[in-house]
Amino acid sequence: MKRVSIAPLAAVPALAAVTLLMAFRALAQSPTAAAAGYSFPIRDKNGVVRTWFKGTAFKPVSLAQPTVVNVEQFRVETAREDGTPELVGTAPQCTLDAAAKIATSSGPLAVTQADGQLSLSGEGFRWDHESGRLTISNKLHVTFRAGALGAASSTSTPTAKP
Amino acid sequence: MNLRFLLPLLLALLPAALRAEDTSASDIDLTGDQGTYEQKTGSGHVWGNVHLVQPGVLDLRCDDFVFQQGTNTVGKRVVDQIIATTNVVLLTIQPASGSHLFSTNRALAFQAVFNGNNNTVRLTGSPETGQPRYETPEGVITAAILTYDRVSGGFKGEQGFHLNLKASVLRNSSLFGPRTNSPTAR
Repeated sequence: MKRVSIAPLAAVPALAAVTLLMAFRALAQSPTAAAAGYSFPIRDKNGVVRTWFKGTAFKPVSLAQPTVVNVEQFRVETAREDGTPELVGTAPQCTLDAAAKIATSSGPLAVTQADGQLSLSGEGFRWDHESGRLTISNKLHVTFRAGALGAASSTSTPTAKP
Repeated sequence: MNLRFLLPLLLALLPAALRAEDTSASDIDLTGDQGTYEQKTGSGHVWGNVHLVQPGVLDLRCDDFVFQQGTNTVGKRVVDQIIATTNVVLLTIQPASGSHLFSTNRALAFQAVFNGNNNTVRLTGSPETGQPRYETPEGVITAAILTYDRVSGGFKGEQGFHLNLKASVLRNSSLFGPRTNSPTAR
């Protein structure tokens, strides 16, 4: 059996390209490079783009985990089903598991509802895109816009949690 | 027993204590140790040293805080339900009235539930007495259920209602004072 060898120096860029390609494919979308950085649209189960992960730089954490990348100037934007903007979240840095669509960081995060009715911030977060759950582990600060307390025409009932 | 008939008397005796300010005047800040926000349902859960402040209006402390956002008739997101639980201390800051510059009233309860549909806060339980307690400079109200109406500023007590007024409140009141026939200046 004939063995094929690749010079180590030549393998590095190839491996990096494969790694990035796997990360992009894991996001299940076609990445679009922009002048300010990268933007990854995430489609919902109906094929509609309702979430964008953005950043100025993406770097794989390790070659063993090509779909886990460190993101600089992370930004997530979500939209409602009708396409209207919903949330915008920003963080100076985070680790994004592109396959699981989970962003985590021990650093700060700020999130604002598009209509300005609510904003929240804190240090240390986990954003699970699939479940739609944001967990903040330290120094949570929520601001409700003046007049945000009121009657809703549609809602679900919360329950007290132990 | 529902003691609604006491409301007119209470409102007459405690004018400064039972008036609510327009709560839309300023933003509301909520802080806590940790928390979660559910994007799909618009609900949030905050726990650990929870502190909610609306400057000049109210100050709430508790251990656990759950809020629910809904969409109002014009499509705007509003917080229409809040459940504050465990060691609830609610300070309501009342605006100037008469000779009072302002007053701060305090409510203690195990649980406070805000209902946006009728704009009320329902207080129940407390670790110490089993009943919520509402303290004002003029006196103390206790009942199994205390309901605070944010629009009218009134309190309704249900089941085991008890009102303890300070004697100083009635000192200059004509309600229980001696009546005279002396003419009054016009």
